[in-house]
Amino acid sequence: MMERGKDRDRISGIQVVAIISSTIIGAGIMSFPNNVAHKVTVDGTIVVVLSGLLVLAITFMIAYLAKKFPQSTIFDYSSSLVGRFLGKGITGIMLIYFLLVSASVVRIFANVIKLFLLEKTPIEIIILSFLILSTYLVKNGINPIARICEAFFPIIIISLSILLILSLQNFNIKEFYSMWQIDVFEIIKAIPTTLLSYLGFEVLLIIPAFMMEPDKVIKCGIIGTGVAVIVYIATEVMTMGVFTLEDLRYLLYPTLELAKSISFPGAFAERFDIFYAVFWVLAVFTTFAVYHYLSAYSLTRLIGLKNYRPFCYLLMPIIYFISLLPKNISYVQQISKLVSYFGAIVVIVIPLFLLSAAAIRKRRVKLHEDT
Amino acid sequence: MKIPEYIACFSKRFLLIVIIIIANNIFLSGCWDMVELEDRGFALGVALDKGEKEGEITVTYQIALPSKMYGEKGGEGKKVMNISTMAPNISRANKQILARMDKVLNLEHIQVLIFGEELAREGISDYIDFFVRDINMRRKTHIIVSKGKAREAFDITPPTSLSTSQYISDIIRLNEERMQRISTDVDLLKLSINIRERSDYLLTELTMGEDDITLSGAAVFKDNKLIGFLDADEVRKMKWFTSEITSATIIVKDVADMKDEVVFEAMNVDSRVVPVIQKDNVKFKLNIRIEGIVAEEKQLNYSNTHTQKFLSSLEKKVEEQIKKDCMEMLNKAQHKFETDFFNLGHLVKQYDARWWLENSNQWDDIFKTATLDFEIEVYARAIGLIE
Repeated sequence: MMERGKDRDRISGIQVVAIISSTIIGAGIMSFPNNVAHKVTVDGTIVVVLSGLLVLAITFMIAYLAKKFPQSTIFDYSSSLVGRFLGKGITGIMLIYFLLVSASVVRIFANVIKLFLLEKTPIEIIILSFLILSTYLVKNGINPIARICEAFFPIIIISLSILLILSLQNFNIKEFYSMWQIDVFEIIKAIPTTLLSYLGFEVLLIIPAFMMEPDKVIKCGIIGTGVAVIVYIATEVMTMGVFTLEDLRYLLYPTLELAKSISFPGAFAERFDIFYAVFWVLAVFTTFAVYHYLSAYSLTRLIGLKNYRPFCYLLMPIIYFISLLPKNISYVQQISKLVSYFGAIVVIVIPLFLLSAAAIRKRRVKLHEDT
Repeated sequence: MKIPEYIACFSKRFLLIVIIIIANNIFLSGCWDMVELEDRGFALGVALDKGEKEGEITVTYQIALPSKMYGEKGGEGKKVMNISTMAPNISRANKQILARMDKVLNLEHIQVLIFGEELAREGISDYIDFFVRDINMRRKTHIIVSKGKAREAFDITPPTSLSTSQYISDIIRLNEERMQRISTDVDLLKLSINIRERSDYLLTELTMGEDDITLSGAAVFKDNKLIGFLDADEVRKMKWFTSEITSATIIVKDVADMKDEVVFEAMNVDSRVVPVIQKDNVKFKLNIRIEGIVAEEKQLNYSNTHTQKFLSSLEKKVEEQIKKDCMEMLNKAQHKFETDFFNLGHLVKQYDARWWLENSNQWDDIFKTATLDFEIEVYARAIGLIE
């Protein structure tokens, strides 16, 4: 019985795959072709593919760290690698990042839902109900979150695939004829923006600590990120082929526009976009729940407590207020930009820093043994 | 008050749950901003005309009356209601219309959007934004330009359809690809892309008779302003430049030195335009491959049509005819309209985006000097049942 009680907060490899994928595929899938189109002049696909590969490389790096320190989160190994003080600093940065992501995700979600489904409902009510639901899920630990992700993951992937396949009716392959006219500088300049639309794989900094089989972390991490990368590439290709690259710069939610452009023979469902928006809610919910959990967890670790449950409730009003701070959609976009800069620190700078610290430490230990 | 035995026998917890369920049913049973289906006025079409005052437009909605269309009383009286109002913009017009209708306006099922000729000459881009920005509009709405007042089209009640809008939309849906004389369908999706890419385009033209509607020919747009019309025959000829052409009938004269007139019906058409881009000029290569049959012969030169001489002469003549048609249309585009209504500019952009980025400013001038190369293969495969 003791063993079972201990295992309750453990997650399987498939669940890790589902968590990573459904964290990456979230609010951003609605608008990322627009972000990419603003940065390139000829073609967006190559940039998305290249940054997808880069994301896989970073995932490998993070997973490698996690494998090196099994059963422990970044909070544990950072303080053992670079000392207690810097470790707390890293925890603080990550806490701010997770909070900002949660707030911006829930705000973008509320904006779209208000636009589409609940035109007259106040945005505060949409955010609040979303937060209450998420708190109910998150307070029970990582296992229920993992199960929700596992359950929603196929639904999200299938609904997105249906959308992309049906969009083939408007697809025009000629839009890709000049995709090989590569301008290297342009691509290099565009990669950071695109890379940051993939954010979400940083859950690998913490989640592996709960894995039942920690040695599978690299494989699971790569598969989870890989699925999301494929989904993103397919979305980019489809939006490019249906709308042209030039047109993508004008569309706020290209993926949604894709759903609006579909027509069925016989027209039994004339508004496919609403059908799609419903499934998109699931994708955003999984993303948000994971980030809500991570913020509560990192706050607990920052203070140095064991039980994170009270902090789920405590964070509710905080996320609520941050999400309502931006006055309009323009500020929301600025906040998401700020969030992605924080994200760059979290996914690239901190892991690289820790990896080099680990390498130096290892060398020192080796030197010590030699002498 | 004593609680009766048959209630008291349940536990308090159970009763509480029952009360909550009943309360939920009462208080949560509907959306608070819900509009009943009968109270919605489904617009089937919109017509935009120039208003009487400067800077105003006349917006006409064709609203479906489902109770007259279907059900027990179906079939009697008018099945649609046309409401016009004048306003400086479409949002204002939508509000004004609500004062004259006992239903809530719903734009989700709009089939066609018709621009009047007069308004189109002044430019349509100012009035398209509402329909693209509004969340309820679908992207498959057909865009049409009418000769004369657009709203008069809605007064014509076709016998085979429930409303004018559905009638027009069905003509496009069913017959646009079967016949080459209607301009290629442009829906809201394509139009908005054209407008945002600042390219020139053609829209389907609608002409009204006494009590009927004809879709044929095309309206030519340059800088989003109507500058002229192509007649049905010209549309047929310009379709060689689009890859959408699937069938065609070509009339040729004097085949094999006989004074006759032969109608060649092309069954399998494969046409492709490939731009050859040089430094500051562009050449277009037209690849057309046609397989077809002899459909009609006027002079009844019996026992001649099956000869090799006749068929190869026919193929030659058809090829010449296509070349002539294409050159004629390119000349018209370059010199009469001075407009790239084939949207060949977009094709150039697809083939060489970098070149396009540098030269798109001068595209109007470059297009005027563009030349045409042909590579046409014609196969007359069969002659029908008569020799």
